[in-house]
Amino acid sequence: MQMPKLGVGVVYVPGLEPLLHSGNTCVQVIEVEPQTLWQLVSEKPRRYALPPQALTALNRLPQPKIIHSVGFAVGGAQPPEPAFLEALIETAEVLDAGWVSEHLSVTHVHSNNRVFHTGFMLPPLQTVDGALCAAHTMSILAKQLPVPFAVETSVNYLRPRSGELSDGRFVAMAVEKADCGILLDLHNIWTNERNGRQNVRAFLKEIPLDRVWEVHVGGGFEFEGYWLDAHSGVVPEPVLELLEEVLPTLPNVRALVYEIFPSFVPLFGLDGIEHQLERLKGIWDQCTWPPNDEILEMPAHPAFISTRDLHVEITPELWEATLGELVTSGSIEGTLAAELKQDPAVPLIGTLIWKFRAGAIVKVLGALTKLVLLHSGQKRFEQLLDGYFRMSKPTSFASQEAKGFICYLRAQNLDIPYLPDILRYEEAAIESAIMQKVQCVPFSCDPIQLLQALIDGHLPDNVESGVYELEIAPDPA
Amino acid sequence: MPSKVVGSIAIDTVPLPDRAVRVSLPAKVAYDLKAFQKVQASILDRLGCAACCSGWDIRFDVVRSYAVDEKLNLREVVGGGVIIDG
Repeated sequence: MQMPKLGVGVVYVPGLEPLLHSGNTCVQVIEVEPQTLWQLVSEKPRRYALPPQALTALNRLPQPKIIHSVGFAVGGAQPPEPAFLEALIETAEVLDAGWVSEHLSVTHVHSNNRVFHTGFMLPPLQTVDGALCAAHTMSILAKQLPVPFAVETSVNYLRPRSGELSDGRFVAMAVEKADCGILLDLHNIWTNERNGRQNVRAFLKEIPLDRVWEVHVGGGFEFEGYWLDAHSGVVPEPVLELLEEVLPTLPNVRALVYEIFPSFVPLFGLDGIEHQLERLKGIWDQCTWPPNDEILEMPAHPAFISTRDLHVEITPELWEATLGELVTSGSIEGTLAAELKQDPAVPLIGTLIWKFRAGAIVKVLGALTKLVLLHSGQKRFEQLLDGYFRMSKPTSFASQEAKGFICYLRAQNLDIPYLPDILRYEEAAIESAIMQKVQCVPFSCDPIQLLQALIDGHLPDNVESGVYELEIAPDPA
Repeated sequence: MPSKVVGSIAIDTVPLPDRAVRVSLPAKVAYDLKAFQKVQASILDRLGCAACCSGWDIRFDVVRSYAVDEKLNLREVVGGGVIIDG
């Protein structure tokens, strides 16, 4: 397996371009999270595509690319859907990616005769059955990819369960069985330790370090007694110290990637991000490894594979359905549900999912958000979001979540002036962006006056009524 | 980023046969409302999946608060906690 050593990089977020020019020696590789840039161009049949303007932006960057998939975690029983696989393969090929990674988590669960997206990376069932199930799903993905595949060590906010495999043994079993690489996220495993799970150094002793191709670091913050893996900016000092200690022990490591969540980029600033990258580059440059840079060998470690399982009564499918329903306002009973309801991390995850869904909606529906907030206030807006979230499951794409919320608001028959106009406008704006075609939408008033008022932060006043048609032009590629 | 719609769009007022008035503007205007500039450096990824993260999506808090108070201290939007400095 030929995999070059790439160096320090950053996850690609639109807006980081000033840091990614060829003269910046701190960014040697770009990690692309393709689903953040994909668009859902068709629901039936389902089809995803990397829009031309995104491909153009990526092709302008001189660094080699690797792919970090965030669309279909492989830690559970649900196999990746064919349309997802097709788009992922196409993206890997068009970007000439060195490798692809995904999460050892669960994002899709089967419950009540349908598969739904959880809106969050949920922890898998951490048993032998769970590890073998994850390995099977990982193998399905890995076998179809045109490049090597690695799986990321994930965050788990749940309390350790009696009799489950340790975090390290679970990862080791899954990757050995699937025979794939490891993306070692140091902030994730440090977060897990901070929140009461396995000690980081014990974790590292249990995983096959020669399978680690890539390392992630990022920042977080504390919320209600939990350290959150928020990718919010500064990498905590203990994580950097851990990095300095661990990096030299990874003989096959190819890349060290700094992660930041897109909405924190404007808050943290490009200077802040560059400073983090400089620190990582300093640590990377001080490391020395054995001179086997080109050939990657991953000998099997049979000792990592065990057959003893103390949780035979809980299948991965039951675990996923139960946890998935509990964190998405679903109704489910049983012994496992009763046990999980005692874990304070379950409502925490529910809150985090709420925030992600709300974030997707306000991101897409700018004018609608402003109109409802200005007219009805924060509390009412949150009630509307809450009502929608309670009657619908999360969706992976922001455009889907936004369309669902539009339908929900229509059904509420709200008495908000100009709401029907703004709902039509938002729908058309989404279609215009996805289809890259002009969309025309009727207005019962002057749309320019209406939108200008919302931009200026006040409710429209004395907007001229009439028969108007607004033509929405797609953004240029 | 437009602060005024009329300053950033091409207004094409064409009377239609049904007496409607047609105006046009780029799709990105809706995403460029002031509050959104605080949480989104670009609109390229606005319709896709959320990025890799198992933490807190701050977009809703910022937009909600900013709509009411434009002098919002962005470091205090998450329960009064410091979000930037770890």
